[in-house]
Amino acid sequence: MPVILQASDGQQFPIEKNVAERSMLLKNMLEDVGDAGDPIPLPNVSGSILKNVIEYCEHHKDDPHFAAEEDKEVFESSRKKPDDIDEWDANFMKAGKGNEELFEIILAANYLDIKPLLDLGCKTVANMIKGKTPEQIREMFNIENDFTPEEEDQIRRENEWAADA
Amino acid sequence: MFKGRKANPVPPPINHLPLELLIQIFHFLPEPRNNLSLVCRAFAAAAQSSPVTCRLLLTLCKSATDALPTGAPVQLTWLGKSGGRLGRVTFGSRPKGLDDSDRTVWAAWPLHLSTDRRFSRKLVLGDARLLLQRQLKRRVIIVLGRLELATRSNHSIVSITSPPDETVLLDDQCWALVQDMKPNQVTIHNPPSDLFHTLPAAEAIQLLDLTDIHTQLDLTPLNPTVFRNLKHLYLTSDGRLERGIIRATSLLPLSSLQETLETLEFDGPWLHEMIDDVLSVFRTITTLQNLTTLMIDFEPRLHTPHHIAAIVRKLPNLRSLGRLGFVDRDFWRLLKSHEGSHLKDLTIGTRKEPFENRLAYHPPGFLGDLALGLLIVCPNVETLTLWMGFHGNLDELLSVIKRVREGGIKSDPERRSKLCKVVVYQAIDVGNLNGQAWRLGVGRSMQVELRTGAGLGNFSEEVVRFGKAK
Repeated sequence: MPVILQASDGQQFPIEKNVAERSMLLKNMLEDVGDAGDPIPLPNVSGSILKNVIEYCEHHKDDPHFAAEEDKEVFESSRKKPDDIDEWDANFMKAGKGNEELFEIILAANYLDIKPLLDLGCKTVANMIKGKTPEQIREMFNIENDFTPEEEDQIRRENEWAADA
Repeated sequence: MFKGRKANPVPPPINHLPLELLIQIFHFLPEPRNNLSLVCRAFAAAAQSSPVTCRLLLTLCKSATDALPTGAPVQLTWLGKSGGRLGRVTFGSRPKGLDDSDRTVWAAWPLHLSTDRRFSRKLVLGDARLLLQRQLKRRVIIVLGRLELATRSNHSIVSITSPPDETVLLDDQCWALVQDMKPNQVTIHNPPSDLFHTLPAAEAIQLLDLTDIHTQLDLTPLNPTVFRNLKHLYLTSDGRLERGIIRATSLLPLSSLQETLETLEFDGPWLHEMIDDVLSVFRTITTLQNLTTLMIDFEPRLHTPHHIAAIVRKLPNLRSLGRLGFVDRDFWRLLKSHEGSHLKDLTIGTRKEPFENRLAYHPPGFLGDLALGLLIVCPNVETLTLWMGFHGNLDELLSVIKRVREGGIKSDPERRSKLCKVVVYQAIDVGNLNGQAWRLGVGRSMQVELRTGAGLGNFSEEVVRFGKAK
């Protein structure tokens, strides 16, 4: 029996249970309340984004489940290279997605608790940021510089320790 | 009524993402991420909340000694990329064996062990973390990167007439801490050979960096049953030995490490004037069948191309080989077509000045012959490092790059080299290059970096880059 997901705009998506279970949120929900066949409302995810998330989950439905990292592994995981992205995943993130859609996918992955998709989204953004100056980052993401000159000076002083990096 | 075109919706700025997601994104960026703090307030908050992951270079020394150059109070020091090794190696220098691209944050902490308190791995790393957090005003995750043993005083002058203080600056308390720390990377300054007999937790050591060697060294105690995980061995000396030269027989025991040893680097004029029997060293090296990286300054005029070629032939697992000196046609012709196809990373030239007139050691055609070597003998080389020693013409180098990119004079696509990165040190005339010719010659699939110095971060060093960005 398929699981039906209902997006914030009312669009419904019937999907296989094992696809839905890529989301830890849905997995726990299905385990707790069982599969009654009613649509599961996802008020924080729009139809267009949910379609993308489902496409990702369908492609990865047979992957082993992601094990939570232990604290002691945080250091090594922090050194993961952001360009360490599978070809299909890289194409998936590229395919016609602008910044808006990318951030919405990250938000949806976080809400639905799909760690590999969240990592993929974060790595993609990290790759966009890598090697850029603060000015270039502001321009790319349409960010306003909201510092006062005094605040900017203070931050520069606080970060002098890595000035030669 | 005029209705304007509907404007494209403005994407929500990244700084509107929840803080924890910005932190998650920063997690995938290399350290240090300090410039992110300057983007906007949200970025500054996320950068401030992300922990700095830091590797600790801990220099150990017993109390009541002035061997360590830093005075009280002990402070953690940022070891940035520019902490390159210039001249003699001092305590707390950038650790040997790091890849140039390694952007990990390191901190050096010289620790005097006082006798009035107990030390353990947990306590020391905890103290280091607190000190660093106080200094950086950031949360810090700290791991032991390397343990440095201030075995003997660090001497600026070595002379036979006034031998340096030979007192070993380590005591039982130091050894107890080493035992508890079980470091897998250890640097030892000018090690007395018998130290290897007593070094605690030797079975945990994977990388051993013996540096500032200026007395006799006997590697016999590097017993493979004790140092059973030793994979990377670095031996550094500037050649100023206080008691004559090193006997080759004292290096022969390296052969016993052939099961585990993957990296062997001799830094200094080892094959020029430091060792009494160079051919024995060649024989020893060729027994190390599992070597993947070998770095030593060869000099083809002294050691004959035959011996250098034998290393290429006899070490099938070698991926990275250098520094071959200014090898020319005589060398490349000793090897059959594709006989060096296992090599991915090749270093030509030398970092050390030969003791005779350096001009005499520079065959004029070595760059042209290099193209033959890359196309015929070592077609799988991806990274080429050239220590030009302020010789050679960069226009000639550009011709070599074009030839290997195009597959030789006949532009045979089947023979195109896999070369994708070229780094040149000690180059001349970098300021007078024809930029357009270089851009065209290098193309976009290759990366070429020309440096006038030795890449140690000197302000006077000129650097010019062509081709694809990093």
